[in-house]
Amino acid sequence: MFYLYPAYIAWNYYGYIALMALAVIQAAASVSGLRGLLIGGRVWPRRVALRGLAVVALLATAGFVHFSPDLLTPGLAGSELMLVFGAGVLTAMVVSMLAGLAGRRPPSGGAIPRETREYALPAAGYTYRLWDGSRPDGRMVIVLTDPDLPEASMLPLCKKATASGFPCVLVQWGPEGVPSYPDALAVVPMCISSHGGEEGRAFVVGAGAAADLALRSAADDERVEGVLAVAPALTTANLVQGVRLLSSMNVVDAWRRYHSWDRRAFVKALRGHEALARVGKRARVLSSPDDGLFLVPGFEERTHYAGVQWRVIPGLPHYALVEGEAEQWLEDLLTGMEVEDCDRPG
Amino acid sequence: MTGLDEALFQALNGLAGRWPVLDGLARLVVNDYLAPSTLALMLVWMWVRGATPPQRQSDTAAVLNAIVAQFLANVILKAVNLVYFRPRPFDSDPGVSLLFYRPWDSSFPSNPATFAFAVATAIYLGDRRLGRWALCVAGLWALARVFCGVHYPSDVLAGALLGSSIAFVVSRGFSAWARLRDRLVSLLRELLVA
Repeated sequence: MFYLYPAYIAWNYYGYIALMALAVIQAAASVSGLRGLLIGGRVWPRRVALRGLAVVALLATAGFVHFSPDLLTPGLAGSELMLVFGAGVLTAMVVSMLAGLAGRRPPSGGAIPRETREYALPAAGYTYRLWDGSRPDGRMVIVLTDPDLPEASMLPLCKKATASGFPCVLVQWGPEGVPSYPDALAVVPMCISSHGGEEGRAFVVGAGAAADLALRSAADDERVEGVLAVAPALTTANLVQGVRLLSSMNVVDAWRRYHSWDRRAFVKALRGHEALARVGKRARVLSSPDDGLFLVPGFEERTHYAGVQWRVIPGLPHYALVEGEAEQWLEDLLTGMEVEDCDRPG
Repeated sequence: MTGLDEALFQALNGLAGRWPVLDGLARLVVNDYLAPSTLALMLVWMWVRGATPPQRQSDTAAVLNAIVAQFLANVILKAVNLVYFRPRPFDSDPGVSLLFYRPWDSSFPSNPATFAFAVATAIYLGDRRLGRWALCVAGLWALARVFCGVHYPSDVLAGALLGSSIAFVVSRGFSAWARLRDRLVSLLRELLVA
């Protein structure tokens, strides 16, 4: 039974803990780059975050002591203290998550241009849009969007492809946003056959789980000349990042990423890490430091000897990878340029 | 032993009531709110701050160890209280300078010291740097309990030993708990809270 007597101390303590926990969470999230918990989504330098925490701690403690003159009298029991402490921390966490919701959203990439043609294939579970272009060699670029990202998020890469003189196919998943295995394996071959003819060749670009599909498609189809995989999962272990996902997205997006469809089964079936080693020199991988940390034994050596070009970009969430560096890497891929300084994952 | 305990108590408690600033600081530390909250907030910090998977794994393990250790320590302390009751210093000696209210429960072992050292040791075993701060907070709290006249030095020493040893055993000794803890962490990851 909780009496919470004296009530004014219980309320003061609740306020004190909520404020202190909010400051602690904000400072810790800033130190670890969890944008999805940060007010305004801004990551502060470590020193600034710690100083801010110290200032809040001093002021909150002074306020609590000042407004609670009966601190040295029999007050809340230990279990009551735990209850109020838990409520304060929970409040701070909810406030942080709500504040993170107002922060960064996935890039929209703008509106889909009207000149594209849409091909609807509902029975196959996806549609795609085509930017026409004519190349005598039958080469094209196929862009696969992560099911949890808006299709427009990949537009910068489509524009880069068309600017480089390639027809581009942007694949959009079905209303459920769920590509099923093994049906998804038919997407790339079908696009190549439909728009490249018998001599068709393709470069495939994918982000997130679609990057795993791009790698697997390239491993299974010699007509794929090159792959740009942005933040691939590669193994299911990389999907269970827990609260680390909040470094790239807010809590709603992170929850959807975990629970909206069976991403794990899809990634497991694609076996991206094996596909990557088989694709070898045709593959280029961009990842953030959060990716590639749980790799199967021997993976690094295999991809190294297979000639995979890999770059880990620190300080950028997954969505930002699609926005910036990927465009340059796509251009290099299309023009056959070698990447100068590659990293290894892990 | 009792004589040494008494002498130490007299030496520390004898300083109480002489300097208002020192008394004020002791009152700030000794109350039931600030020191335990500071230790618990350190656990919140550890829970959120991990930037790499290995650090995250280590931090979440340390936090869960601390929670389990302080729970077990509390259970053992209550059991000890059932079979042994030691009066508080102010009950035995009316001349004690008391800067705190009069707790009615057994003086031995010190409940706050048991809690504080269980948590601080678990933090220390997970992160030496942060753990040193936690041990400082625990030590100050325990010291203030003696200074303010509510515990003998042997009470807080026994509490510190009890809490620390249980934290050590929980953190390093139970492979079954380690397996259960890892499963719990996996579950919490699925729920986006770890």
